Amino acid sequence: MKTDISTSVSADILPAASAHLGGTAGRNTVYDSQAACLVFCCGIVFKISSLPGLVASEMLSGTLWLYLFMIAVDVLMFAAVSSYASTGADALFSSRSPVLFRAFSALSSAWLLLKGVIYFCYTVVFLMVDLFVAVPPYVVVLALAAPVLYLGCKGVVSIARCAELFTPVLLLVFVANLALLDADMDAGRNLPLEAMPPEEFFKRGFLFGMWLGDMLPLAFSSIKRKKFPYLVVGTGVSYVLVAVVALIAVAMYGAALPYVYNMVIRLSGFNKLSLEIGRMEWAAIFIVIVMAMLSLSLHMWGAAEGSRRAFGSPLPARVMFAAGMIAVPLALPSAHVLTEFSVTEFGYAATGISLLLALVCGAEGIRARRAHKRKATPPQEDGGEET
Amino acid sequence: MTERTRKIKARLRDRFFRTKWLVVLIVAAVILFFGRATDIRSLNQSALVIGMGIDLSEEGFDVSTLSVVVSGGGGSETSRSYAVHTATGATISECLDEISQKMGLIVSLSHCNVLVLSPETFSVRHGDIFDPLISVYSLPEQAVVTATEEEPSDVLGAKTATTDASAFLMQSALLQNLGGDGLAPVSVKDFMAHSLSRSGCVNIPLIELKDPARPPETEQGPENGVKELVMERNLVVHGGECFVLEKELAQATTMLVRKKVYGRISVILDTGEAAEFRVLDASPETKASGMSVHASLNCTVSLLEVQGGDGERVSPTSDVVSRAAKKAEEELAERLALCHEISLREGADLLHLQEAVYRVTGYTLPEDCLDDIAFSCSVKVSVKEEG
Repeated sequence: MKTDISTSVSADILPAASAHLGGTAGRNTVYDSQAACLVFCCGIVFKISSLPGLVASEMLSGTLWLYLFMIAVDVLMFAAVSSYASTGADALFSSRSPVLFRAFSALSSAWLLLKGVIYFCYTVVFLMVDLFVAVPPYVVVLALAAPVLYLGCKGVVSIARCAELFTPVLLLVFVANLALLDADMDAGRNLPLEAMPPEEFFKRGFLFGMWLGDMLPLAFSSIKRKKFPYLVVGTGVSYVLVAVVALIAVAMYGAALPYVYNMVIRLSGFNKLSLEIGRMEWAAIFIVIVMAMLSLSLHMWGAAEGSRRAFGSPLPARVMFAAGMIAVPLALPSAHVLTEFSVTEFGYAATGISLLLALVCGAEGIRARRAHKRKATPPQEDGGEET
Repeated sequence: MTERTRKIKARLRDRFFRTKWLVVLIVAAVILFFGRATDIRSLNQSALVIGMGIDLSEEGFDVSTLSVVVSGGGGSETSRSYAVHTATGATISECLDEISQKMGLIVSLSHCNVLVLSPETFSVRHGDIFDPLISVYSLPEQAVVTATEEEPSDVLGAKTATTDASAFLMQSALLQNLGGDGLAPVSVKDFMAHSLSRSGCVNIPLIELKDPARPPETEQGPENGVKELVMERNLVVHGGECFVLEKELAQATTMLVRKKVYGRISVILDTGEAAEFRVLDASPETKASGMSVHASLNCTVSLLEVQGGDGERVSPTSDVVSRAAKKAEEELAERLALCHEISLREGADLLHLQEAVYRVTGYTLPEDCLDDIAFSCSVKVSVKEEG
């Protein structure tokens, strides 16, 4: 069943912009309730699964504090992206400055493609370690790639619908895991705040820039607002969960956290029901797989939309994303190579690119909002011209 | 492209993208057909390890497993037996593979709840022992870590009066606090968290094998070869070194550094009365100020019995109980002070003082500063009306 969402945003698209957008603006419209589900399903999965262990290996007891800092930055970046998406800045940007728009789209596409492939490797590593036993890697890669390609090609509306479908279940399982958590914890392990000098904190902290701006693909969609502030609530709930997981991770494991490859799986392992009905890791495996698939699909769709805007066709990005997903984990001697690479100096570049793209989104979002305001205001006698 | 071809393409695309349930099915297929969910081998082919022992000798690791072997009988009958197998190798994995070959069954550690390690084993980097067991052999992180000065295989193979499998006894004794007074079970996760903390010191229950004063009587006469597993003392592991902490000191230390501690407190007053309390709750609080630490321990106990009193009915408000509680406070404080002396003598931070100071001071705290930390403590024992 197709849902036809008409928005004020799509009506504002300028004729010149329509060519750059490939006539997709109406097709890429999601409600803010769906966008909130996307934030929960796609925006936090890699932050709560493999990241706590990686951060702890660098940040020691500063893990939670770096998380809080990253959450603050990520929320600001998402605010910029959602402002870009909900004001129709895409169309205005493309008509005002086509060259810059194309450069922005190409960079976004390349960045999402690279991030998607690295995240895919992370997912493969997790599946090879925690789920698949004695199964050749190509089986894992193909089994995982199929739904990602399917959803990535189908589009943001379908991904959003899937997210809408899964969010209540995933949230319920997640909250149940936290509620039934039965492990010795010491919240004091999050201290001291000063585990290292401030300059060292930021020097190490910015290594994890790849995990910033996971919701950048939403810049290529249009967000239709509802009365209830779903997006604010959804984003709040999602990021509070991230902070809670980071706090619990350090409280549970302390200095042993670097040994944890996937925190969500470990959280479900310490379950009050384990003594009654056996190991409960399956619940977390379900959460992580579904969330990872949706997130990877969103990255693929974002890369394709960026490519459509930059080069007129989504095909190059789709082909490269598919090839990267299948070839890179199989061609590399170990998928760990790529995951380790993501926390080298590459992390600084990742931080820079993520911030740059978010800044552009934010600036264009503000510009579009002003343009809409001017449009809504009756023309003055001195004849202020619209831009 | 003809109109007809275009229509066929559009119809195929629509069919491909029509149902979102396809995605759900693919996700379900990934979990069901390639995951552990269906990778269940027949119980007849698996050796379910319920206890594992590790020793380190000049030849390498001596690994022992206590496993349940399930064999199908006629009709609905199945029989269970317990077997201890031992193998020697350069790595723990090599030993487990050898045990698999000896048994002709595939070793699974996913139900192993007890680890018995010799003191020599702790000379190896602790992460190198536990990390492969967790990530490769699916050892639950809730598994209890214990130590023994006997051969671990002897402890695992010990036949007790109540069960053929010593691991069950160890597990229930520790998890239900039926072991020594105040001994707390230490899971693999907690062992690693403490071992890698700033204090780098962890106390684990020490298991001793003893012959019973009288062998248990059965219908066939006295049952010989039965052993008693005694868990009263602690093995303090700090770095690669270990030493034994006697019963009363182990209890006092455990009360201070662990939260969930139960057991009993026995007091003999100067006037000859003997009082017995059950520990209901121990709430330790460690406050660091500069390089000095003050530990306050609030113990809530219930009165079990008083012997040698004046014959009057004894209640928690009786004078003899108050005096006994006061005496218990003094004894616990003395034991904690003694533990601090031992801590300084052995260079092992068993009261976790460095961790307490580190949480306040931060990165400026020098390494190995145990000798520079001043320690004081206060104990409060409150007697509650509880059966």
